[in-house]
Amino acid sequence: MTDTGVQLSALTRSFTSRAGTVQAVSDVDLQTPKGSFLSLLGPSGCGKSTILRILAGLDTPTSGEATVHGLSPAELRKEKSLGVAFQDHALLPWRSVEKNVRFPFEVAGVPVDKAWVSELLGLVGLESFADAKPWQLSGGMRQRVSIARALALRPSVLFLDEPFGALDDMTRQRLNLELQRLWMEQEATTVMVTHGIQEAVFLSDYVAVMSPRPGTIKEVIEIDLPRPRTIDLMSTPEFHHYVDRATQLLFH
Amino acid sequence: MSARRLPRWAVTLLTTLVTLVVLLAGWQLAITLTDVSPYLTKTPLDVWNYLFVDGAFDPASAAERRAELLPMIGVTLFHAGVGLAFGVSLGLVGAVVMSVSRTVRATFLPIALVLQTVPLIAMAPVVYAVFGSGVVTAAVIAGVVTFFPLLMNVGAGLGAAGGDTVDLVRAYGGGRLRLLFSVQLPSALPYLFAGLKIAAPATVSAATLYEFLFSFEGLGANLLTSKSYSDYGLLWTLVATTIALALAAYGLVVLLERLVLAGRFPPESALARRGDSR
Repeated sequence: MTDTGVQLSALTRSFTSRAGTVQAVSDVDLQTPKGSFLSLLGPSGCGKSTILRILAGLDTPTSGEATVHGLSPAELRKEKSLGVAFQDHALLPWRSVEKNVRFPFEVAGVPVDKAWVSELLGLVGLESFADAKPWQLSGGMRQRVSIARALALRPSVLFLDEPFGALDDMTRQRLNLELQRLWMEQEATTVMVTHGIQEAVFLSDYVAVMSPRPGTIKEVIEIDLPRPRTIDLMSTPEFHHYVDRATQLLFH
Repeated sequence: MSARRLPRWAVTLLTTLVTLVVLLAGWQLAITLTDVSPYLTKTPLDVWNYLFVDGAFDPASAAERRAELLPMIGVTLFHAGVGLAFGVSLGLVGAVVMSVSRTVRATFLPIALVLQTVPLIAMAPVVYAVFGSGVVTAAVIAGVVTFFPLLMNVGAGLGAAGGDTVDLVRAYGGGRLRLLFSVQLPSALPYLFAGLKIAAPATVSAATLYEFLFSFEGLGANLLTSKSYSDYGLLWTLVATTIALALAAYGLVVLLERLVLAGRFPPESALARRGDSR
């Protein structure tokens, strides 16, 4: 089991309301190797965020099991080596950029690694904004802080929920390049939720294409493209082949 | 004009002064231009004379009149201060408890809402019957008007942190207390001041009401006695003083708000420009 990254076994999550029972995630099986980048790709309502929330211990499955590195979400949390970033940057406005990046240390009850925090700020190109407040930054810069914060605990597991979903295309493209660079240095088992097809193919080792009602995985595409991937790669036929394949799965 | 704009504080100061002048001029004109009795009604100038001009009123020395007024102000400020402290503490604790427990919220929020609809003047005799005359009754009556705005505003502030922020804390293994102290309470700070802006001036009026009804001390009590002694100079001066105190309480909160929030939260002008609260 040592080489297993994400493992989902017969994972099911249903929500019951007055209108009836909705299968947000239905009997999903999936396995990725340790240190790989997995994207959950699909339209809204396909259960991709629910899977991520279950993995991060923010939701519990109705039945089935979800583990990363063989650890349950609760065990994973105790390891204190996970990182999360959401579409909403969720930065605390009264804290400086640097203190926002320190926040996971405080919540997890781990001594702050100050050298690493300032190195992180350098890695995301914000060293001169360490003392700025989030509301003084642009949307792209805020999302960079959010990524730096996700890497604060030197995570072996990284959960990203549409981290650049609220940004314009150009900023998003640039941040995807940066994310790849940071990810390659960290070797963290990563799960990213996205509805961007190109983004998913560009960043991932595996793209799980999902369909809604009930939320299931249609197919897992292995993206066999060399890293580091560049902008130029995005105009190659190989890249387009993967994008076309994912598009086909999504719309048929 | 637009090339050299005045700093914000100067604009605030100017508009405040203009408001004050308009108010005082309106008061003065309303009395001088109508046929109301100058014995019963006093103008801002009369109040000025009462406070600072010898011989204008009884007792003859203005200093003596001021010396009588000062302890009344002290008593009212004390009553208002105790009431404010009491109401704010209760409102804060109530808001925190209600944010932690849904059951408590569902039970006590309706009670607070009902209490809020009871007129203070109707509640006051009940409070007096229970606690008698004294600072406790003053604190309860003045606290009642403080409690509710604090409860509602701080309550809203504690819930203002976004779902993603809450998830973030949970994902890193943070518990309820961590969420409260690291996220909820700091993000409620602007809401606390919004509540205080309503509460602080209201506490001054409530303290005056307590004195008016049940006490022989303070501005409120002397409103009553000055009228029965037909001391209209004092009466109008007391009214003007009470209003000034309420306004000063408001001003103090605004000042404190600027000092505390500056640099911690985006200035309102920046919010309007960005159309974004984060």
